[in-house]
Amino acid sequence: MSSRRGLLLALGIAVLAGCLQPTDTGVSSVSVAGRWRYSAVQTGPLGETLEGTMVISQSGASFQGSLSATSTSAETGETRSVAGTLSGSAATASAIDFDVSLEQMPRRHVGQLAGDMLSGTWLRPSDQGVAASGTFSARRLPQ
Amino acid sequence: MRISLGFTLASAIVFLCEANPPAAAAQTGRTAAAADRASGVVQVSRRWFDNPARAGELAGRILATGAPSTYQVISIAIPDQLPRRGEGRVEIVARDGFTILGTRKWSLAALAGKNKVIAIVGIPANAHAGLMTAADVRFYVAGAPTVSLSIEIDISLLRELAVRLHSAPLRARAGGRLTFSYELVNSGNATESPETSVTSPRGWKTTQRSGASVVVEPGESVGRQVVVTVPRDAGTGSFFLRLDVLSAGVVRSSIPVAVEVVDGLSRQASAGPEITIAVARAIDASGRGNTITTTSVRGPLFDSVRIDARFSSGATDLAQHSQALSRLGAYRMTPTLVLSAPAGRLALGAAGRSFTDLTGLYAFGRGAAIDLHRQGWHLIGLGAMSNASPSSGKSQPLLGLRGDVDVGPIRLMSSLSHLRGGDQSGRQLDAAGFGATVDAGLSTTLQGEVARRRFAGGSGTGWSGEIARGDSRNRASVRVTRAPGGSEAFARAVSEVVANVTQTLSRRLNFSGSTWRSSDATAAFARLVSSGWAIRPEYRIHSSTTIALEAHSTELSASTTAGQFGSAGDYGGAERQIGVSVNANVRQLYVSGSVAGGSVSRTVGKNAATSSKRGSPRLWWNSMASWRGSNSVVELQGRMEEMRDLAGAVKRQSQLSLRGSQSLPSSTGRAASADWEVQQIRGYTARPTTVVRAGVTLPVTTAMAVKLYAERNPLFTSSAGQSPWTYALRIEHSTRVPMVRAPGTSGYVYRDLNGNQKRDDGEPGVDGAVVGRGSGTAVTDANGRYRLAGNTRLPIVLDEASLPLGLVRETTGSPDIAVGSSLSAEIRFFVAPRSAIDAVEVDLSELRAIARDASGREWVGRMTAPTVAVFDGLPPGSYTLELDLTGVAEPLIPRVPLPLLRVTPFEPSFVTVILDPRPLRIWRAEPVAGQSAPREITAPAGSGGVSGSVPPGSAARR
Repeated sequence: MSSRRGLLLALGIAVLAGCLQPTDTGVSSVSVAGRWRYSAVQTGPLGETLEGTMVISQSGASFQGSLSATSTSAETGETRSVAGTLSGSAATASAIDFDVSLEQMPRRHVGQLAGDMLSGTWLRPSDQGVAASGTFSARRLPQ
Repeated sequence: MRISLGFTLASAIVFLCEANPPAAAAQTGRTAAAADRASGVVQVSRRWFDNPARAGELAGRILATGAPSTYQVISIAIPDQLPRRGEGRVEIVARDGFTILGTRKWSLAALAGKNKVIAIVGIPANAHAGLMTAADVRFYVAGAPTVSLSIEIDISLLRELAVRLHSAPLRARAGGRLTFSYELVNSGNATESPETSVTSPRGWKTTQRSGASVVVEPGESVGRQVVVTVPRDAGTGSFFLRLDVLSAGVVRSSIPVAVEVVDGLSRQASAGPEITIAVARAIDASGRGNTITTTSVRGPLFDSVRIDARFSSGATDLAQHSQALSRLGAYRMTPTLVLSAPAGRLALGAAGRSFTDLTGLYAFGRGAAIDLHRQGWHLIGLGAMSNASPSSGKSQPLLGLRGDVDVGPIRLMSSLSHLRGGDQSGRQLDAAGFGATVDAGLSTTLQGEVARRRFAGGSGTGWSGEIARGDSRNRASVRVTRAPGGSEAFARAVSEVVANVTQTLSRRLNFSGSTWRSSDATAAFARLVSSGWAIRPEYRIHSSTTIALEAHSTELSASTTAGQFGSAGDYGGAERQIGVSVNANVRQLYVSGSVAGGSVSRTVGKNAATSSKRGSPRLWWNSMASWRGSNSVVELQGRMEEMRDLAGAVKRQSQLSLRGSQSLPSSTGRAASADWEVQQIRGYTARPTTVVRAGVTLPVTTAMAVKLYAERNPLFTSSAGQSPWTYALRIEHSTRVPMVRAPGTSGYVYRDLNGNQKRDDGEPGVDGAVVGRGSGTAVTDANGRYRLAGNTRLPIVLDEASLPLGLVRETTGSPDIAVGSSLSAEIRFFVAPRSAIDAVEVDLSELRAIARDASGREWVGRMTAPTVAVFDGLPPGSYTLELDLTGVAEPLIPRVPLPLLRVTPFEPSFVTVILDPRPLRIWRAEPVAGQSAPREITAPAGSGGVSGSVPPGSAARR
């Protein structure tokens, strides 16, 4: 009885591990790799602007990197510096989807690429709803 | 004096005397005597010998055992060899310290027909352990050799070594020294050679002035002293030392020694705010640097008014410099001045307020915010300007007012707002609202609000309602909000429903859960909908170990507005996760771990034909272990997340952090400290990203400190794509200035010698008494005077532990505080008889008597005699009495009203309380026709009767 249970457990782990193996690294003609001048505006619930630099490396449709920026409160003018990692997918130029981990809950960005301009919206989920949202844009810097 | 009477004839001797006993018998006798001595039975030697002290006498010994402070009854057989005729006598003479009770001398004639005499020997309390001669018995008969016996008692070993503290309570200031005395009292009967040791908190020093070893003779006491040095960085409050008395490495006695550390600045009660000026500069390997100067003013201005002001100058143009400087507490900030008092708060500079869900949340700007409250009403206001837009240079107003007033069980609320968040934010709102909160009973609160809202592009009527029930441990609430304009009109969302529940199901099991749905619309999002639920049952396995099941589900759906995201304007996502977490706290070690599995899915696209949807299972774990010492912390944290390839997520990401901090006392009185962290992040770049940071704070003088910080953070990159080290230095200087005016309250703590609770001439002040009020504390000077800041509405509290031993507070409500010697009082109980002939004897030892003063403080009496309860250490005043008779076997009722106990220093304080027997149950045991069970009859108190029950068929007895 116990050996059967162990067998089932091992099978379950194997299936789960299999599920976690990359099944689609994707092939993309969209390149987002490079250094980007990033700016974002938070419109709710607090006004805030973010200005900084994204550094992105890409492998297939997936990309990863980091963002460092200075955040300025739109209403008080106070500033703070933030830095975090980012990762996402660029399957098509019209669906650039990536997360930036600046706080505990990552900010999800969804945008479109037009040449060296990337623009779209972002939002940060919270435990009960959406904590913040806004728009962003990024311009690729020359190599 | 405690004397118990050892009275066992079993331990009395049987005197056996033989003239010239055989050697074999003598040997047998010695063996028997030794065995009997071990068992406590008295024996006598069996061999007579010539008395070397007196020629011609026969001598013998009687051996007995006994403890100090006891009497031993010794039966002494009259020797057969003693002639019974002629003149003669028997005498018992006690040796030093021993006593003989009863007859000590008999004539021969009086002993006619008897074969023994009885000696009752009292052993002194201070008799040393070992064999001692207690008395001599002599038999004289004219013409015959005198027979002499010595009564020797083997006094049993009694080891009693007590420790008496002389100088409690103890008080000291941080960085100061104190000496406490104690006495080792040997109340046993053997020489004691203990060692003493003092255990103190880390960083404290103790010195035993007379060394660790000591010899204490029986009945003597030895005074000892310990010098304690309190570290400069010790906090205020009670600390405990432990005084151990050891013999041969084994702890025989251990007592705690409490030391109260009081604020080193408390004598300077008029010390005002502390001004700190700091200059901080960050540089990196490129040589670029940024400097920020900050000034802060914090502390009491006068009485209960405090100031907290900050401003900075300078700028940072590199994020890594800004990060390093902020780690040293230096950052650009809006000049801010906050004045706070118990009745309210005024903020100037950076100011912000939230009014209500409908009339404005999170309104921040530069201006003024005020918060005032009194009994029954509350007012908040904001008058500020939003930050000027870089493009237009325009600032816009943020104005709002909210007032709450209590009308019976209802709190009415009204608010008005005109809020503009500035060009960059785009938020704006004009609103007027009215609401109420009602306590509906049964721990239920109802809250509702209606408001008219006008926002950019429209207007509407908003409403909200909430019902909440429960207390801090068990609570359930449902909140519904409809706020047209949503988050761009200073609300959380356009519509929102949130339900939360927290429930303690048993001593070990807690449950919390929530569900929500929110919908919003902004300039960027035509629709932004989020919904979900979460549950978390938690089981407490052990007092410091919990295990919890955590599950949650969230869904998100967003539609961007035209122009923000081209044609593919929709995206969304969902996440479901279930996991388990364990938290354990073992002494200084805290361990937590959680593991979860679930699925994540994301969609991008407007409709099914054009959208891309990806889903993935997800595994996630997080663990942390931290160790906390008294001055240090080390923490290790690791987390990992793994999923299949998915848009917007790394397949496998992990993070490992090791961090620590340490603070060390320094000679300046301010603690030096160091902290560091190494963090490695994997998954985002081809090579792991390692962040290293460390900082140290070094106090140079009591007023000046230097802070150093270094960080290498690859997440911050230079324009050349490198991530160099960033270094930062901060030098700060602090000065405490006097209050703008002296604290308004002053008074005396004085000895009220005549007990009239007024300060009269000649009544001395008490030095070193600690008084406090709210956050303000002060210590009296040599004249007993103090000046005290703090909230003037609060009562002045005297720390009675700071008073000399035996003194207690006598008065309340006046700045002049009378203290006096504590007094004792008695309750004398009288148990009323049930009848004229039936006296009641009741054991009242388990009776609990409580005296309560006007402020509700309790004193518990102790039964010192069969019918007397004594209260020790009562301050003068009047006390109400309460009696707890549940422990008394006999049912009794105190006769009411109970008298008031008045305690004064002028006359003995006692009251008499009469206790009546309760109504009695009388069992008529005679069989009644048709009944086999006895009948119960209740008799009132004092009417007499029979207690107890009698089985059917037997006769009742009186």
